[in-house]
Amino acid sequence: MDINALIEAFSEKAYVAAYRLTGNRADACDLVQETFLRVIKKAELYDSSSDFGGWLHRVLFRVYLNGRRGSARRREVPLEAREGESSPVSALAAGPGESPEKIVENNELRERLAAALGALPPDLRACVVLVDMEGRDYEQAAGILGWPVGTVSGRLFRARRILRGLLEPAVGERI
Amino acid sequence: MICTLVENLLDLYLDGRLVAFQARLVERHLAACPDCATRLASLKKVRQELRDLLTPEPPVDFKAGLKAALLEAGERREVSDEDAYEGAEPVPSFTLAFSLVAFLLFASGSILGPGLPSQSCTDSLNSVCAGNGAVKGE
Repeated sequence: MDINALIEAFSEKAYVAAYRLTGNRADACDLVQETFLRVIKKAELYDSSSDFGGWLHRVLFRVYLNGRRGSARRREVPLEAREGESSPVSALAAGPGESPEKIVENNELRERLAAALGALPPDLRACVVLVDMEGRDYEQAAGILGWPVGTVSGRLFRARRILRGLLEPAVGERI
Repeated sequence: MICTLVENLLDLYLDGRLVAFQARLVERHLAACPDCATRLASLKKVRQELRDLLTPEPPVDFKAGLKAALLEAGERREVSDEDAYEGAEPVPSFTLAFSLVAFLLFASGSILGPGLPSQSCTDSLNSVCAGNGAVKGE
């Protein structure tokens, strides 16, 4: 399969994961590009009997973590609208039948959630993205990140504690 | 106190990672404690919101840009590989450098003459160095 076919088949899914990790379009595009470059460079490491999408996903997370290790992490407010973009968070207007108050409340929670995600260190955020956003179990997350299951569990615990602390005012109760 | 204990278990309970007796303990407590039940509902809500956070569509030129960037990177790498080949100069290997250092250390014993600990030169009269090279035992 040539690289163009791989881009057609897998780049959008990679972009979704990249956006969840980086929180904005420009960095998500850069991360996907860097991931494909790494995949091309390390093509000999790919086991053709395994799922290419899964391998690409692993590479993407490791590129993300390696890119931010040891350097001062940019504290970007994630998932926020840039000039000329509509906010993906506020675009989540609630479904039919919800009262205006409920819609405002939900949008506020989403805005806070997005900001709280951006405040997490990369390793904790990666755990949240895999387990809480993608719905993977600890073992799958550990396989993707290359960490022991206990490490994933511990980092997830810390991440959730931080998120909880940041979200309590929005939810209006202890969580 | 039991609330604090259960509170710490709620995440694991939602993840399905509690052993049976722990899960039963949590469920019994939740049935009797409205505060903890509310907390569980809040946790579920936050998780649901996390899953529902939308990702915007990639930019319209995303795939085309990606293909172009990969193509450019591939060409750049080919050019730099050629440059590296053309301008390559022989680089001394680590083995060669190590051999050279070892040889110099060995040779220094002969060049510097007696006086090196490696040649057992001591102040003793029995030393090979005693009497400016006088024959040992005289």
